[in-house]
Amino acid sequence: MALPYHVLKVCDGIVFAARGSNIHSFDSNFNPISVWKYPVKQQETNGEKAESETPAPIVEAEESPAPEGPPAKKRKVEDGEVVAVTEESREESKEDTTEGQTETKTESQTQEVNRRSRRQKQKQKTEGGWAKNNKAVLEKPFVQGMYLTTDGRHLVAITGSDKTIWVFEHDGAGNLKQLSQRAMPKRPCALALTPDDKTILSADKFGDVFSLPLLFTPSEPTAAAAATTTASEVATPEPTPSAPATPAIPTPPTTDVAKAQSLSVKPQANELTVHTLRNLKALENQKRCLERQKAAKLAAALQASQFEHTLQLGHVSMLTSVAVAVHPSHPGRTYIITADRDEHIRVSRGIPQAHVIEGFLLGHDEFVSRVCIPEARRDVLISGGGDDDLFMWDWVSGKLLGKAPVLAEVKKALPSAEDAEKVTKVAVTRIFDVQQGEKTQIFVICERIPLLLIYTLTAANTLQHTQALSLLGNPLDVEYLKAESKLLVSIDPNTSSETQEEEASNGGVSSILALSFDDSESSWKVTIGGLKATEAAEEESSSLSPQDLQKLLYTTESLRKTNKDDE
Amino acid sequence: MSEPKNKRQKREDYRAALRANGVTELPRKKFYRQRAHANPFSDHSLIYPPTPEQMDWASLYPHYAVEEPIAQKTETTEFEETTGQELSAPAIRKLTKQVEVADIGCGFGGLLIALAPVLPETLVLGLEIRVSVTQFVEDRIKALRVQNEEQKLYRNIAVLRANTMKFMPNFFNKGQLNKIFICFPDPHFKARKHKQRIVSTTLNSEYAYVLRPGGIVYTITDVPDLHEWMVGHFNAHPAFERVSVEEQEADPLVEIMRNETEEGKKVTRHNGQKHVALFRRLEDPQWPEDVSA
Repeated sequence: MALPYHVLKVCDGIVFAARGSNIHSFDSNFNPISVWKYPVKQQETNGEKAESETPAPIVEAEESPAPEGPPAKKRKVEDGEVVAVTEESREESKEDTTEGQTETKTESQTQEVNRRSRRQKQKQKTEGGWAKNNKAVLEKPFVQGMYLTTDGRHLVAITGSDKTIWVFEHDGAGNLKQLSQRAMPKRPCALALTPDDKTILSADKFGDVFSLPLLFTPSEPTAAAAATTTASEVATPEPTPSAPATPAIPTPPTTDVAKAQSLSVKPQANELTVHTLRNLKALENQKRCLERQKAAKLAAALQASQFEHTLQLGHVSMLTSVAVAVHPSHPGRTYIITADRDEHIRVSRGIPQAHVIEGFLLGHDEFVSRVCIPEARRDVLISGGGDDDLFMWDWVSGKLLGKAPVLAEVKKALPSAEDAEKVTKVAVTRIFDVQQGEKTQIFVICERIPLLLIYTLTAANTLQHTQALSLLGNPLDVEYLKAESKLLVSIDPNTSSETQEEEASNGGVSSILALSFDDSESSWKVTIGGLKATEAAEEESSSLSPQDLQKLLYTTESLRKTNKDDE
Repeated sequence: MSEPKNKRQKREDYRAALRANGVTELPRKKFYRQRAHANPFSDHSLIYPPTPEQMDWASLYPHYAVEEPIAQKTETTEFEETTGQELSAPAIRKLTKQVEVADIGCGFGGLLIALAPVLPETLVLGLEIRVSVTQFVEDRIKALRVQNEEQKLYRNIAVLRANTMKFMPNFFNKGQLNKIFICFPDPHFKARKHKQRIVSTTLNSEYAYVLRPGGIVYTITDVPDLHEWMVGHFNAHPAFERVSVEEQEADPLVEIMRNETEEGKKVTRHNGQKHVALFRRLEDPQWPEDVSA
């Protein structure tokens, strides 16, 4: 399967396009500049993972999270495949582990090592085997989103199944230098950057919004752990979803943890105060328990303290979109706007008063997937999701200004009546604004609909549908090259129909289309100068099956509530 | 497998019979039992208004409804109908006053019923996530209203099935409430379930949103750990301050909360401890820009 460029970002004539888990950069004529490749994880040798000293601290923590309960919960995206494999390959991985262990065994093996390896096997069985099953997918999680700082100096990206936020330095010419990677406690769904470019806001699947400094220096895990164990114990009881639950099975003691835990475990009694065999046994048990708790705490602290992140606000629902906004009437005030799967759009104050909820924008009947505050009309918020309409709000007062149909326009614009009949609901995946002189244009993409809907935001606060542009495949993302007045639309090449595939063989289908505004007809038209699919296909295509790829690319419709359980 | 079916059948028969009699006698709890935990994260088939303005309060508090022509509608389809139309279209009867007291997780409704005569001029709403339990309280209130028709009692209380963790802002406007009761909430002992607790830093912001400044959150629990958790989280939240013990003990509602909730009675029977804590909603802070200006 050919991978499409599913996320676009434009920065001063440079186009960043994420394709699978890599980020490509092009100049405005689509001459490739550079590619950032998702790092392939180092040394996947079985059984040695936890003990190795080499890997980068964060990757390490990510790979072996405290085994807190069913791992199936954590990697939900690929569950289709995952569920299918389980038993068999789990057995396999268990065998592999045993082999790995025997190989590393030395003659002078103490009982201690034995016990450890046994425990490790246990761990491998429950968790390592799991990771192994998903290796194909997990190795390279897809880029879910890219965000630019206002000065264009930094690019921030999120990758999906590994829950990681990446920060890159951008030299202005399209070259990216990776500065940091931070694995979040829960999967980030959307990011926003504060106007001062110093803070990242990460909205996650669990409903929380964390703030992270854009730039940070990873500290040594040992130092961090030592420094924060005490701190985390004294700290105010944050409901840290970041702090993992006390693991049922202790992680095999790494050297650091073992050292630290030997320092300060104090059982109530000692061998001198208890005498009977049973009591001694009990004491030993007690000691072991304490040790275990200590290890768990350490592991928790270790994971939580990898980097600074502060809980700012939260919904009890999956977040889908986050924005930082400044209303023109109060330029000094910043707001955080969050949208969730349960129809809510919340307007909170910005940091440091994010706990103050200013209001809600209520009225959606289905999930909200996108909010957009047009650059030139900061007093207006446009939201869309599973509803048939776009909603337009005066977001500071919480007033609904109006709605604009999406489903109806889609039905009207689809070339064949048959197709139009089949479409009964839409899921908005992108709302994008472009300022063209005095005109504020809004571009809307719906999932699996080969159309680009174009609206004009009028001064009277209405959204007027002006055009529905038929595309050769499903659009995935849209961006605007300001200097050339070119609109870029990335297309999923796998969705083009047969006739178009012929064209594709002639190099006709583009994976990124370039659109320009035709003044004489006052409509948008596809122009020459996009990125051809054939050019794009020169690199390796994905090993993913079409179904898996679809699952990764089209995630919005699944937010809709279907089978509601009633207990 | 036959037994639970049998039970269900009995239960349904009982409730049907009760309904047929016009709900004059108090319902019996044994026909409304439901397991104590509900998952607040799952998509229950809940009915909730898209906005507080579209909430049909008149069906809950018929005696407080403003006399206006009633749009005929059945309760289940009501919200679907209203949302399908333009916002101005639905004819929803307004109330003469707003709900000002909410009992979150009201359970079998002991507190509601005790509050009704104490706060005769205030509308009190119980919110409960479990279907059967809500049904019980509904039938109980109906019966009480009928039985006390002459004294006009129990007209100011009502119950609603809702997931407050998700949908509180759908029911209440900003600053609408005066008091929130959180009585004997599910302790969720496991650390990984702490996000399901009804008190958390992030949810407290929502309580602050629906409460007016000066409004009070009442909490009570028999679990010391949970008490500490709740106190810790409310204290840590900039919008709340703890009410002093003297003031707390002077509040007559505290005594009612201690003794009249169903859970409270149970704890008394088992000689358990009851930990009470009250928190006052503070004024919102000034915007940083206003402070510096």
